[in-house]
Amino acid sequence: MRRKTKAMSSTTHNTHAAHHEAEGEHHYQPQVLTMPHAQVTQDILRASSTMGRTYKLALALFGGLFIAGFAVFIVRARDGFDTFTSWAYLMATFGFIFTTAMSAPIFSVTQRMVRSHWRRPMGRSAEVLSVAGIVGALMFIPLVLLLPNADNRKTIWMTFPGAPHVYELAALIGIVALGLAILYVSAIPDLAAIRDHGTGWRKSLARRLASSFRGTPREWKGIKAMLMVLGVLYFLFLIGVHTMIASDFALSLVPGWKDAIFPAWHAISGLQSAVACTILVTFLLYKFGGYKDYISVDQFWGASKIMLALSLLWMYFWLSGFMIFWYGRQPVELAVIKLFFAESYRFPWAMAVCLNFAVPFLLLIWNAARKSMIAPTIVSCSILLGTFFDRIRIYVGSFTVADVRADALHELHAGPLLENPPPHLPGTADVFMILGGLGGALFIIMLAIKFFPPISIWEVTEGMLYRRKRRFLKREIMVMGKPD
Amino acid sequence: MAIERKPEPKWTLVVDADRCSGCQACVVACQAENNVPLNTDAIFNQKRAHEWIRIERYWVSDDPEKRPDEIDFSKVKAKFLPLMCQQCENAPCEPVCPVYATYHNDQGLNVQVYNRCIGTRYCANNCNYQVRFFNFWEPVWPETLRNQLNPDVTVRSRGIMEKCTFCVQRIRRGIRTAIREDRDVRDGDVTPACVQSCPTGALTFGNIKDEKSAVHKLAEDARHYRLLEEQGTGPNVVYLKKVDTHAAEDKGHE
Repeated sequence: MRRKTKAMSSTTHNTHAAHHEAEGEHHYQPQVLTMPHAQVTQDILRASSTMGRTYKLALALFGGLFIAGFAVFIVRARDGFDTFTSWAYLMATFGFIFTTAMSAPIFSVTQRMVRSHWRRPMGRSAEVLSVAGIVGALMFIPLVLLLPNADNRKTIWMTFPGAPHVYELAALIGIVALGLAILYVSAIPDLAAIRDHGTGWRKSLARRLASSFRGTPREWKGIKAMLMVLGVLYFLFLIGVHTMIASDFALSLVPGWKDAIFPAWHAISGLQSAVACTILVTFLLYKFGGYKDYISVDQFWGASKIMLALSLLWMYFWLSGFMIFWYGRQPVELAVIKLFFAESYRFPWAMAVCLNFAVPFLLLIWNAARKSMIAPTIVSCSILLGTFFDRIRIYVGSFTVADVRADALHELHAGPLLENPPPHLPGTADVFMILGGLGGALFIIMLAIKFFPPISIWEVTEGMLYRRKRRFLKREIMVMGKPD
Repeated sequence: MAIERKPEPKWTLVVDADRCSGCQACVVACQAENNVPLNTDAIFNQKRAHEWIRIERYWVSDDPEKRPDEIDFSKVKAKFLPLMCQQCENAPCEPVCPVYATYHNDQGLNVQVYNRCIGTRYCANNCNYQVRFFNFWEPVWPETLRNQLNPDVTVRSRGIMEKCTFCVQRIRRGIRTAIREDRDVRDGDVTPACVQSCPTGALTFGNIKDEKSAVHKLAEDARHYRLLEEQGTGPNVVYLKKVDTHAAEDKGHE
C-alpha cells in the first residue's frame, strides 16, 4: 500500500486524503501540491483552452435557448409593458440569476479577505460567474422600466428625483461592473501566462488584456491592493443592491407590506446561493474539466461549513421576520402570510424551506458529509433549486399583486392588501423566457471559462509556496507558512 | 494652544438592594417616561411584556437546606432586585448586531438606534440579563393616555428592539443645561425617571469618574457587586447587597 501511495505521488505529485486513509491515518491531511510551477501553468492552460464535443453541444444548446427566449421576449414586448404579470417570470429568472451567479464573487472576495488558503483553487470559479451579470443587466433594463415613478407611492426612495429607475440601473450596472473588474484584475497574471504560453485568438486577446504585466513586486502589490479595494466595494454594493431590488420589486409592490428583515434575508439568500454556485462549478471542473490534480476535498470541506452556517442564517432571518407577522396578525399581515406562505404560493415556499434549509441542515450537520465532495454538491444543487422556487414565490407573487392593486402604485394613501390574488402559473412563453434567461447566463459563463482559466494559476502556485510536507515522528504532516 | 478636552462622563447606576421595598414605582415611572407600550394580561401571558426595569423577587427561607414542606413560612423573607439594562462595557449584544443598531457610545452607554434596527433579535438572544424587549406589535395606548406620551422619547414601532437607555433624553438635557450655563455637569444634574421616583432612595445615578459623586462613593462600598460579573460583561450597574440583620448577628453581612 505504501509503495502504491508513493507511486501515485510521483505521478500526480498530489497528496490526497484518500492516501492517508489508505495508510490507516485517521487525521485528515490537507492537499499539498508538489509539482513544478511550470507544470501548473501548463496543465491549467491546456485544460482551459481545449473544448470537447459535449462542451460545444452544451454551448450550442444554451445559446439556442437564449435566442429562443429572446425571440419570445420580443414577441411579448410588442404587446407592451402594461401589466406586471406578463413579466413576472422574467423577474423571477432575473432574481435567480442575480441571487446566484451575480452574487458569487462575494465568496471569492470574503475568502480572500480572511486569507483562507483552501479557497485558492475555487476563488476564480466564483469570480468567473460574474459574467452572468451581462445577461442579468440585459434582462433588468425592461424590468426596471416596468416600475412606476416613486412619487406618490410608498417606496424606500421618498422624493428622490428619478427614483427608482436611475438608482436601480446605476446600482445594477455598478455591481456587474465591479464583478467583472474583480474577475479581470484577478486574472491579469493568468492572462499574462496565456499571452506568453497560449496560442491563437486567446493569445492575441490576452496580449491586449494583460498589457505589459511582467510580475514585478510593484505590479503584484498593485493587483493585491486593487483586489482588496474592489472586494470591499463589491461587498458593500452587493448588500445594497439586494436591499434595493427586494424593496422595489417586491415590498413596495404589495400595499401595506412592511418588513425590515426581508431585504437582509434576501441578501443572506444571495450569500448562501453564491457559495452553492461556486461549489457546483468547482465540482463540475473537478469531474469534467480536467482539473482533478488541483481540486481536493479541502475546498468542499471549507465551503460546506460556510454553507451550513448560511443555511441556518437563512432560516433564522426568515423566522425573525415571519414571527412579527405571526404575532402581529394585522389584516395586511394575514394577507401577506396567505399570499407568500399559506395559500397562493405555499408550494414554492414549502420547496424553498426543504431545499434551502432542511436538506442543507440535515446533510451538512454531519462532518463526514461536509468532508466529502458529493454531499456539498448535492446540497448546492438543492439550494439552487430552492432559491429558484423562492424567487418565483417572491417576485411572481408581488407582480401579481401589483396588477390586482394597481391603485397602490399611484396613490400614497391606498389601503393595504387584504385579499391575496390566486397563484400565477407559467405559460409556454414564460417557460421559454425562463429557459432563455438561464441558457444565456450559462452560455456566457461557459464561454468565459474557456478564456479565463477557471482555476487561478497564480493563486495556486502562491499557495504551493506556503505549504510543505514534512516528516514528523512516524508520519507526514503539512507545514503551513503564513507570511502575512 | 492645544484645546484641553474634558473626559467624557461614565454614567453608572447604583442599586441598593437593602433599601428596595419592591414597590414598583420605578417600573411605573420608567413606563411613563419612556413611552413603553402597555402590558396587557394577554401580553404578559405570552411572556412578551415590556419592562425596561423589572423587580425580580426572591423568597429566602431561614434554612436553604430545608424542603418546602419543612419551611416555617413565618421566617421566609422577600428580597427584591431591580433589573434593567446593565449598560455593559463589554456588551454581548453589540457585536452580534448585523446592522450596527446597538453600539457603545463614549459615555459608557449601550445605545440602541431604533431607525437602524431591522429586528433580527440577535441582541436579545445574546443578552445575559434578559433586559431587551422586542416590539411584536404596533404599540397602542388608550385615548386617555395618548396625550401623556413623552415628546422627548421616540415611540418604537413594530419590529424594533428596545431597552433601558438610562433615560438618555434626561442625560442630554442635563448636558445641554450645563453647556448653556457654561459649567460642568454636576452630580445630581441628571436623574433618570426610576431614580427620581424611588421613595426609599434605593437608586442613585451619576458619573462614576467624578470622585465626589455619590455613585463613586457608593460603588466603593463594601457591599458592592455587579451582576454576572464573572462572565466578563463589565456591567455599569452596581448593586449593594441586602443587609440581613439576623445574619449579621451571627456571620456579619450576608
